[in-house]
Amino acid sequence: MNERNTSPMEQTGARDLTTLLSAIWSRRLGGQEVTPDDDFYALGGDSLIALRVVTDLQEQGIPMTLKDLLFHPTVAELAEFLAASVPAWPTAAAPGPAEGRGALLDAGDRVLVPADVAEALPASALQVGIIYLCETSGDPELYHSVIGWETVADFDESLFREALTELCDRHAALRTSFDLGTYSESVQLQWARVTPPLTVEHLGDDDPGKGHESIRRWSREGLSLPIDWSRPPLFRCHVVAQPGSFHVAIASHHAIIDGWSYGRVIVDLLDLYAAKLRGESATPPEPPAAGERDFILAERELVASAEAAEFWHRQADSEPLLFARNQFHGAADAVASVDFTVDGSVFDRLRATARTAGTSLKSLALAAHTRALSAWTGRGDVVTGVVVNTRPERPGADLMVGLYLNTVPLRFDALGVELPELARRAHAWERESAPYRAFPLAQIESRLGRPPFDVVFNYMNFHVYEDLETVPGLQTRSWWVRGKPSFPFRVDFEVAAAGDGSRISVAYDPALLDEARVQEYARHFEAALTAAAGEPA
Amino acid sequence: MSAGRRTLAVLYDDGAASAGEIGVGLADLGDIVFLIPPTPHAELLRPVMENFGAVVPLTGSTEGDIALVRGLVPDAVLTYSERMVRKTAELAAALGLSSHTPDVAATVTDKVRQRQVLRDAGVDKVRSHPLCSPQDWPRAYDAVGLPAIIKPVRGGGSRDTYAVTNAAEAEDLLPRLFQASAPDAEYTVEELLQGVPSAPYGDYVSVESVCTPQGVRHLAVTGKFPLLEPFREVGSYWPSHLPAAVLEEVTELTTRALDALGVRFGLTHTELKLTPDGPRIIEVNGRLSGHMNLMTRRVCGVDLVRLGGLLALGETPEIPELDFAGQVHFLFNTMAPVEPCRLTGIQGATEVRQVDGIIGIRPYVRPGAELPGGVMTRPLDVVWGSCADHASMLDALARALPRLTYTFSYPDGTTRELTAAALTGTSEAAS
Repeated sequence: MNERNTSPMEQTGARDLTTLLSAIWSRRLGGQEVTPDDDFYALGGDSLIALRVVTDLQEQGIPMTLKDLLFHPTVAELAEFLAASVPAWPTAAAPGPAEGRGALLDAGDRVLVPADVAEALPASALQVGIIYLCETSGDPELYHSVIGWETVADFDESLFREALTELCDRHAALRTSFDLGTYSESVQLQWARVTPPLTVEHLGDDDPGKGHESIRRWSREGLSLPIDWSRPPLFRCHVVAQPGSFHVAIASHHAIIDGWSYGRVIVDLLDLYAAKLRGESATPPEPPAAGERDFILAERELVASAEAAEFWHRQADSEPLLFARNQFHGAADAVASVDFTVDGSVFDRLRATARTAGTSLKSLALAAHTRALSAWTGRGDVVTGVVVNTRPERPGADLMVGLYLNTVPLRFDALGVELPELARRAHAWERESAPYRAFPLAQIESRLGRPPFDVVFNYMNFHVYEDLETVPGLQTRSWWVRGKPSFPFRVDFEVAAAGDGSRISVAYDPALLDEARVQEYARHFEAALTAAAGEPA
Repeated sequence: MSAGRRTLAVLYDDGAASAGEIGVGLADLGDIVFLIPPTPHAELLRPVMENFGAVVPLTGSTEGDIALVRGLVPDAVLTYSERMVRKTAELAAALGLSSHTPDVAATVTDKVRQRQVLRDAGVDKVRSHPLCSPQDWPRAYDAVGLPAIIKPVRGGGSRDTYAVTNAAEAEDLLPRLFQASAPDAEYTVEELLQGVPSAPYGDYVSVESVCTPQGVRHLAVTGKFPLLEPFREVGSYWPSHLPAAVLEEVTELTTRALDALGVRFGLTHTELKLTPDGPRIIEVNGRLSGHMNLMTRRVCGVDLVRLGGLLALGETPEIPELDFAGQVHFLFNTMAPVEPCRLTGIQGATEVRQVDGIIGIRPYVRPGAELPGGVMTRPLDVVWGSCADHASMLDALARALPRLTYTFSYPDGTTRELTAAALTGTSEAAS
């Protein structure tokens, strides 16, 4: 190994990573204690467990591969390797300047915080941006998402209500409201306690189709009622109970919950409820207590970074891809979509291509998307938005419920190379941009004087739902989801359950783009994915 | 990394090196293509292999596989799995690549043929006779006598291996054995080699060697813990406990055996019984010894998977000296019960790791797994460590094994908790 001088930033990065890696190893190795010099194999790890560890770490936004783990089989070696291969990690785990309620607010603001608020924090830039868009669009459905499913178990209303209350106690986001006017800055208030907004409908009929119909009706009607972000909680829950099973829908404001968090909330809720049905008490894993505070601190640090601002400006500073300046502003109304699926065998080959190229499936899908954009627009230089995870690097970050996403610009030129090479470049971009990924989109936009991208790519693999398999005595089925972000053209690449391939949905605003044109993109993307998958072996 | 990437085609199945070890060991030698048979094990490990290279299913026919491998234009065709030794030699020969010749591969994987060659060369006179049905027994008995060992002609891991000390035992065993076997199952009856009393060590050892056209080099003599009835192998240690004079006899016999068998390529693993008349060959295997790379990488910084890759690429790598740094290093396997059962729990792994001299423990079987029972060597785990000498190694294991408890549930509804010490007969509690 080469002699290298490590910068203080690398050392900090390695230290934070050590804590994070130890926590994930421990979880995947049955909860045992993990010290930095423990060998992964010596603790009982094998390559299949290693795969799960790598997926968890990728989910935390750490761009790494199985090879990295097996080549560096102790936490200390792996952390050193990762810290050195990534320019700098956000130092979110650094202790804050002050402790106590409202410590991050101005002293003048602090005295205004109501007594029954447990913690008051500045709102994040993305939260403020989303709320602002919702207000100006007047569209009650914007960033108002609903997720629903059927649980095969008896419904006991009082136990379910208890479970929901405990769920709110666990996750501050479910007790949060926003105040954009009273204070010198926009503030999120985490209330000490909330009464969960649960409504229940009983159906004597055991036909699940009827239950499903009722719950979807609630969802449709509910979506037309905006969620008042100034009053906690910013979610509501509805149950349609039938003999032997019940349908649940949770509607929420995106400002408090992202896609991954939805999964966490549902897994915890069902875990708590199932335990109550058994007459036991459940102890789902505890999210870090000051997670949101650390996130806000890291965001502050990043907003002040000229390096981060410069990095993103370079990424975005290219001719807009689809829309002329001022053609599009604020929130789009992406109500139409073009959908297609990638079947299991093509999907498996995509995975194999990604692995052989030493990248992730996400990087390969992103490469195929940029290739499709280039073919579609005839441009050799394209910019796309990419949805990225901004969870702080710390143990238990995946247990945090909140809004830990960002959408950032990725610029590619020289798109003529082979797809595996393009995927490696996407992977390299992910590593390079890692330290800056929580930099507020609004800042990038404001420096550029226009939206930094016209197209957004969103890779979704919510394997948190796999945890549902470990909830004893509860089976779930018939999942569905509704949601509407503000982007005019958004490509969702969703990894389906094991072996089922993936679904691709291209949501667009019909006022800005014709269906035929969107179909054209979809065909290019499908062709690029097929090419990336290669011939069947 | 070199400009022109080379391609290594690895025939993979359950064997001496794991998919992850192979990926790590070969990564800097070139692009890996894993060729896999349609076994559940290979399917299970497919996602791991895909992280290191392409995964291509074998076709099932010789012509199909040759065409398949030709299409890959590999620079090496190799394996670390006993089951794949013959197929690998066939494919490598078809492509003109370095490997065992098909003839050598057939001999090292066929115990009858191997005995014949060794006998003809005057290397080892162990009596043996093939056994294709219970009706063959009288002739086998005439040729071999009693006590004898009955084992399959092909395959490892002490599967379906039994000792027979009198005629009544043979009469009882043979119909059952053939009834439970595949229609084309072939066994061999061999003179049962009686070991010299060696407790607390095993009365057999193995020799790990590298064969090249220039000759045979021995990497190490591996000491063994005593067999668990009937022939289950519970672990290895390096260096062995043998005095220099015996070591020389052992390695000299191994060299003669490898020469007689015509092995001129690759890693081999030769097992020898320590008898009152000196060492005798148990069998020669034409592949890496199981688990050994786990130790050499950690202790000696030598990756035997990589060494195997270089040999298959036709290179003449420097054969490493294994430096054990004056310590004794061991691998120990807890055995599954011989009765069919389900593993329901494992307790005490953390406590085992805290024992001085123990470095790690890795379960091979997770709770919920069904265990088929039987006399095959079926490890539940591997426990490994390093100690100052052989006595402290035995002491570390004596302290560690009682702390590790496995819980099994049996088809009759009963549940039993057994310590690793009980499961491996190393404590009085064994029943």
